[in-house]
Amino acid sequence: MRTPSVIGIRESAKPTQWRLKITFWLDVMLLVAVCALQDVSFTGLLLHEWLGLAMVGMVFAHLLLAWSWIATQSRRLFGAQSAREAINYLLNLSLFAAVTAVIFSGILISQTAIPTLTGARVMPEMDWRWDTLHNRFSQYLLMLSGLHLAINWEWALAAVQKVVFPWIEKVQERFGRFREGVR
Amino acid sequence: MKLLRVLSRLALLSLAAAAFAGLTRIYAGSVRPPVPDPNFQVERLHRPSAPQLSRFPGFVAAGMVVALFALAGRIIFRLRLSSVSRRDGRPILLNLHQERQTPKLDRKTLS
Repeated sequence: MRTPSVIGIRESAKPTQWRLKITFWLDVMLLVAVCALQDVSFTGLLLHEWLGLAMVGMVFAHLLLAWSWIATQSRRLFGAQSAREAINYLLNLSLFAAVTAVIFSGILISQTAIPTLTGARVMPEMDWRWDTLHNRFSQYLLMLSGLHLAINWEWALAAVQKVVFPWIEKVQERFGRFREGVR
Repeated sequence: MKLLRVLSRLALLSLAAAAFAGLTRIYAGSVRPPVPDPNFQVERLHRPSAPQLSRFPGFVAAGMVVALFALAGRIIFRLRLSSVSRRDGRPILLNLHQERQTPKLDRKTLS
């Protein structure tokens, strides 16, 4: 029989599990959205623009869930920081800048979503400067997303195991108990 | 109280985003990207408004670019940077070793 303290620990772990699930699925959605938004013809212009706007909410939620990391690393920005931490911080800042630039330029060249939301008239002529910059920044965003995934690879793997394949952990647990029993 | 904290963080993030948007505008004002050729312009102006599933390979290609950069980044970060423990610099602790810690906590509380 489990002691009350063990049950207490298990109960307190529940919100963490929920938080992990939300963070993981949000990250998956963000990654899929970033890939889907690269080709306008695949999603169609209408979905492309609305999905792009939805990314504002998704990015903010992603950052709010990682707030403790942002706060800690920002405080330590000019202090003692390992090379990995400094590169990770710079990479994340660049990613945020790229997302902002893509969304901002996307809003400026929007032909359906923004005119629907604001009631403004659609610009008769395309602003090619912003269109070119929108494409350029979206390519940077794709590359930075890959690097962001690379630097958080261990977390991503552990999260996949915890959220998508929890049975692996259960098997490992049982195997561990079995081995302890044999000893 | 919790809502206030979230709202203040959102305001801070919005401020940072506004600063980056301002920088983007300055950058756009300073560069003169070449005007795309007429064929490309016609293609851009007549993009379909409905999704085209036949363009799925484009989505896969974008996924492959992410995978390629993730792989390259993995190699570079592994070579250049010291490995990080699973607990350091993570937004969420996964409690991967929770099962091993539990008996220790029990002994403490019991004694």
